[in-house]
Amino acid sequence: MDDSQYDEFGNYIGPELDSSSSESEEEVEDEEGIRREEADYQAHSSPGSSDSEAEDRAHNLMTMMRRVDLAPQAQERQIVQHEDKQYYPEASAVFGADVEVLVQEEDTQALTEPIVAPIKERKFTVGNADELPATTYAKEFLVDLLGHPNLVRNVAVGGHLHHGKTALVDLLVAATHEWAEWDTALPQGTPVNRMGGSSTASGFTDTLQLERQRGVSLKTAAMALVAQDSRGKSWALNMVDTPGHADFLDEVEAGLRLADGVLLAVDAVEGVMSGTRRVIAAAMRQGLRIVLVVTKVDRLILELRLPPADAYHKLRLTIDEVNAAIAQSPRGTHPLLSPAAGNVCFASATYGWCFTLESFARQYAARWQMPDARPLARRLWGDVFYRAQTRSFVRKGVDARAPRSFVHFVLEPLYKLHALVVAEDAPALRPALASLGVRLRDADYALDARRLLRRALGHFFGPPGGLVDVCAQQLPSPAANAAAMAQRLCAPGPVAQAIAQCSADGPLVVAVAKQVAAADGQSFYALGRILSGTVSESQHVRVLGEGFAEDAEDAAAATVDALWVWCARYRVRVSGLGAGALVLLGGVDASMAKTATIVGAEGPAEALLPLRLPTPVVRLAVEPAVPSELPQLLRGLRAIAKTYPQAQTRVEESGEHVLLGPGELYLDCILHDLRHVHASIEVRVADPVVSFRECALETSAVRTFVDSPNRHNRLTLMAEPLDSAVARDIECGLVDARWPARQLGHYMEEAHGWDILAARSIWAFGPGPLGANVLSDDSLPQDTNKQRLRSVRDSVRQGFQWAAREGPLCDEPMRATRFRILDATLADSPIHRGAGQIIPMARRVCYAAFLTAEPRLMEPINRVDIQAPADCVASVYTVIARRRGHVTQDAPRAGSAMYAISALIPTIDAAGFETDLRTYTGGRAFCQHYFETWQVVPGDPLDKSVVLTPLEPARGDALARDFMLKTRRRKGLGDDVSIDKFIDDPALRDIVKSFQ
Amino acid sequence: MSALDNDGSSAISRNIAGGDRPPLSASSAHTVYEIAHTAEQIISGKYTQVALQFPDELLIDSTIVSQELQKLIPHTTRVFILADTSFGSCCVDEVAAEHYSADLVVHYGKTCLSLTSRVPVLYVFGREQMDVLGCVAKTEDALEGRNILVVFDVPLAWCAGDVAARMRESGRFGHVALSSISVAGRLYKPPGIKRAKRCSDGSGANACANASGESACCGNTCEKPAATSVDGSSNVSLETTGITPGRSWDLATGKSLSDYTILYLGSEGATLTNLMLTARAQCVFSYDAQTHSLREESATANRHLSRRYFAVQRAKDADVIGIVVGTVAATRYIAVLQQLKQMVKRAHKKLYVFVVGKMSMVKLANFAEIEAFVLVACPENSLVDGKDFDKPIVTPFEMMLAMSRTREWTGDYVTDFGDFLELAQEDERQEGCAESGSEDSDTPHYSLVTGALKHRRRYNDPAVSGGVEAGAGDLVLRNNKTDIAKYLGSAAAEHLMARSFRGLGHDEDADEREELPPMLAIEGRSGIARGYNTAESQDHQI
Repeated sequence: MDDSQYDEFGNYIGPELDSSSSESEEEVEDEEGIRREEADYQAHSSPGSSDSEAEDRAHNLMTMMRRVDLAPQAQERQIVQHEDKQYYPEASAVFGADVEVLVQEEDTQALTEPIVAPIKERKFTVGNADELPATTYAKEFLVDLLGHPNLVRNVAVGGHLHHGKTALVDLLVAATHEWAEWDTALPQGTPVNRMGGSSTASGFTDTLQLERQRGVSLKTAAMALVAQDSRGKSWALNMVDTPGHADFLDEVEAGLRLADGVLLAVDAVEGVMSGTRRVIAAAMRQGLRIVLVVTKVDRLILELRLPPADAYHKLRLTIDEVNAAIAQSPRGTHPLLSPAAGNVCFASATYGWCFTLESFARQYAARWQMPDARPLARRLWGDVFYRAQTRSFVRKGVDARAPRSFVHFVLEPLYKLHALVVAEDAPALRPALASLGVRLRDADYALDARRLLRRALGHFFGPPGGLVDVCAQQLPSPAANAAAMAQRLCAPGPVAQAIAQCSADGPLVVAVAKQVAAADGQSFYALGRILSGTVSESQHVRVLGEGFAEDAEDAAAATVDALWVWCARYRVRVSGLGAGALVLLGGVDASMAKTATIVGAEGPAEALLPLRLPTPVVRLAVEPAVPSELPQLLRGLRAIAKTYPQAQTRVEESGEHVLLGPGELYLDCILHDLRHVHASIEVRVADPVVSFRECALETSAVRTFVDSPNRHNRLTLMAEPLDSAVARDIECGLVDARWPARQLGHYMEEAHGWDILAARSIWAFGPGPLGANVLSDDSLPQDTNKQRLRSVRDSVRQGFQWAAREGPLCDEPMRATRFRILDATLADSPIHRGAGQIIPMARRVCYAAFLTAEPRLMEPINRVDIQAPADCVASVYTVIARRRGHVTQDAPRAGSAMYAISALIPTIDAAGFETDLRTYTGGRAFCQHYFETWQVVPGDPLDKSVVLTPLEPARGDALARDFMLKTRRRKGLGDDVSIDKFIDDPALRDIVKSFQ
Repeated sequence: MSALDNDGSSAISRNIAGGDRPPLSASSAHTVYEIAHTAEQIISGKYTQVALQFPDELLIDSTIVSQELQKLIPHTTRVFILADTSFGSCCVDEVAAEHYSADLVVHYGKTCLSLTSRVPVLYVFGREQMDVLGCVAKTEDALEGRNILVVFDVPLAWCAGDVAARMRESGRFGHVALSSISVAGRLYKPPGIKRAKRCSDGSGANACANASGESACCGNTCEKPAATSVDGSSNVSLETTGITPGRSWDLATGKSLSDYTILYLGSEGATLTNLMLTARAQCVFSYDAQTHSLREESATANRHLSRRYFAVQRAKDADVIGIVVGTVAATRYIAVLQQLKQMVKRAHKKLYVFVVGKMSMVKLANFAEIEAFVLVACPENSLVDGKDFDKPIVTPFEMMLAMSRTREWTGDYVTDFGDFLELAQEDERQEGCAESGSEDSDTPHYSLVTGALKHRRRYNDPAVSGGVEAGAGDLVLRNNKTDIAKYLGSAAAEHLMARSFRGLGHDEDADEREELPPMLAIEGRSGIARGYNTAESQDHQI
């Protein structure tokens, strides 16, 4: 220890500062330098120096001054101006160059505002996407299995609202995943589904905070996992959980696009509901196999308390209803759903169990050491009775007391087990359960009845092998379904061949069904199904848009940034995935509108069929509360268009930004996302309105003709109503005007009984290929120069399309109107019948003919399905009647105290209907509604004798005019709809007047 | 009656709307048309060829005015009447005036007050009946306590000062400001006038071409219309506070236009629409002298503005742009045209320029490949409501919004050429900076009209045109000679390929006619539209 480094009190002062030698050397150098420069300066400033020298001098002066800064010693000897003196170091010298220093003289910031604001976390999903939970299998095993299309099942879980779809997926997740962290991800104050007594087990696939707050699935999510069937074989399952709410059918369609089969969840008590029917119809349209899960079987036991024999009939009825619904759906045949066939599963996700007949029979087989459970399983359903005396199964119930085998072997034990657990106390229960092989921990017996029941039943049934059985055995693998998929998704060609092969070595084809927003709502991933080939990281691909078939420009090159296997709350990053798997792609969304087809950078390219979704009818005008935030709003709208398959966002002619969606909840979710997730701005919203359609009720009163602006051409036209069946066919895309005339004529003749001449003269549908209006050329060759007429066909079509797009009543599209060209006089020289002459003429004559054919407005009508207890039915009728609705069906639900009421309500009056209904029935009635059809609004919109009083609802026949005028005013059109604008000929005008 | 067989007879035989009142008597014509004042100006300026330009609705008084005027001026001075203007009657028809080598145009009736570039103009506004006291009384009830800016339609110019004075007297308003028209009662001489005169010694067409060159350079050199202002004693500067060329106002110090309520005297029309779109006042009230009604106009203005927003969105989606020249009179239209061309080229879009005279939908519909039109016209004519036309027709300012990557729709609106040019140049500078940094032009843009993504087609892009493009237009049906044609950025040729009917000889039954050899290209007609030099007429000349 060196004493010299410490002072007399023992404090450390360090070694003496004697490093002055090196410093002084530098000083000397500096001083010398300065002296040299001064000498230079004097030399330069000698008389006779030129301008350039003066510049040099200034330059030298500058360098010198810099040197002065460097040499404080030299500075001390100079006279320094007061203002040049530096008393305190600059802020940058203290904090470093990369710290911004702000000096504010006054407190401009409010006290409530933090000086250093915490970084705001933008996160709208629960769970951490990149944190992998512990699973019963290794993630590598899952990824390996996904590489074998025969061991993969892509299953969409669909069904009516609250029929337990998400809970079914939970059942599988619970069996394979660590439970621990599920609930911490729940936002504060979220109502938790406490039904099952276990708040932790709900909604693994409901990852959005919005979904959890509302307690309903809103988005389709995929969950990849490895599960074992009842024989212990491992399968890679991609469970695609779809929402059940009627507004979100588009998400279901997207989910079906990804899957090879559908797991249909049907509530054992409620049975087949409208949502079930719609999922069945969608699945049949896509040609998918269906397996049935009867969910919430526990409700029969614990809630309805049906005797076992009645419970059998209730279950039987439910299954029969499903079969009937499948049979009613328009397309294709489907094998009968029956537990005996192994494609029906019974489940109670709340109590954590599920079984098929085979998996239940396996329990008996294990106990009685039977070699095979299947013979018993075959005898467990239908009119098979068990005679205990002879220990035999019989077909006919000879003995009235002989129970049905299903009741005897399945339901009665189940009932007994329930009764036992609920009724007995721990000492009695323990040996009883032990005899069944169920051994619970002591702590479990202290739980309340529900939790205990879940533990006991969960132990009794074990992992959900039955559920895996139905998926694995009854639904096709991606490889087996590939040929059907190829046929469904694209026209025959190299791409279709590749899809049918389903080979990982083939050319790359990925069908992107939807886009998923990242947790921060700013970037998007594409969720797709690899139909052929292998997609790998940093691969160069082409993204084909939905319009690629018509416009080859609708394609863009992109690079796959990253790809993942999506497991709802987390995702497993992989370097490559082959055909048959579902994949989440990053970095390819830039040029994607809603769906897309991804193909390799080289090789065949063909866009797959886009999702066919109906045009939404509820429209909402939005604008930013602060006008300068318009760019943010536009960005938000774009994100909405990406993530909501059915939503449409556009600017209307009136300059409003309009959102179109199928219903209230849908639009509400969009607004939530717009305000909080994608744009974070305040948005002002107009009252919701609906789209209208314009149609003709009669045939035109006269042959209307209109001359072209140069008066060299004349077109004669009549309008007439189009058969609604034809209109529906066109809207569903069953028939296309671009077909060859022979095929089109054949179809119309066969399907709708048109005569062959009328059928073959169809020129166009409009607006667009799915517009339900028809233009046909019924002119006679002896009156009309057909060849000349054909030369202007494009222009006439364009005029017709334009007219059909913007009807004369209130600029809404026309629907179900047929225009027939009766005569055409066209100028001799082509220059006099150019597009400029023909298009406006065709448009005006369509308007004129339409206005003479009793024009009417059509409004969308919603189908409403209501579940209400018997004593509420009367008030339900009242609520429906107040909203111009009427009931079409009203029947009690078998085996329950509920009534099922089906009604029709105009969509415009359906806004707020649900709230109204619940208020009126004390929250006991429950409804779902969705757009079903178009219906003519009562009254003549052109009837000027109708008096409309402001702030008073229009009634009866005044309604059409009321709707028309309000729509016109909203769009900034004048009140007057006059046919005079479209007819020039005074004589014709007079005739038309005389009819009106 | 067709637009095509235009030998002039149709213009003569056409009935003009609004001619149902009897012509004015000589004495009232003197007061209404300020004949004495006009004669004085003509004599003092020693003009020899005077064109009197009448709009259609005042044409009925044209003979009496010209007769009376001729009486007051020397016989050496010739007076003639201009009617059936080539663009809008609000603009001075300089070209027509130059055909007759007029050295002064007297413009009667409503005008957009856009400045001319070559010919001196005397504006005579005419006088509309007006109940001044009634107007003030009505306004007092409705707008008490507000700051008022009185703006007027030109036929009411004679009494606007009176209205403002009485409003000030009544004391029931805040500050009352009166807008003024710089050219009211004075002669306007464009700055390039001397050179233009020299040119006009040559043939008519030649003069036109030269003169437009002049005006282009004039447009580029003079920065502000203030510099080109009126001769005479006036120290009122145009364009310091006002927004319409020729209209200006002095507001109370420390106040901006948003503190004022505009009281517009006159019936609704293009002037009012233009005023409402461009002036961002508190609100706009209009007083119609004919019906004695006062009403608030702001709601319709907002709706109108929204409709323009829709037009901008549609223009954004367009890849092929047509610029329609709707004026050859307003100063600096050439500069605007140049600016627009550059702007469109910068955005790599295809561009065509049209001059169609008075614009009509029928004329524009002949160019089906054009996806959006820009109308370069005087402020009042350029706002075309394209309801009857399926392509959007936008103003230069709107086109700028549609093309610009940096500028967003804010609701501010510009119709004046001067303001537009300033903004456009500023834009150009910004884009120039941004160009090097961002190469996002390839990403498709989100079309708000269709709600879908739209891939931009890129014309005249150096990056693309060198290599082989992969586009729909590249694939050409093979004909029997195996010719392959590549259309180098020609939108019209691509459009022709996409059509099913391509004129005679190329239509559906093309197979039968394939033996016909294609015709050689021959030289077409030349000359001006009122008499082409066809082959026959040339023969006659020989």
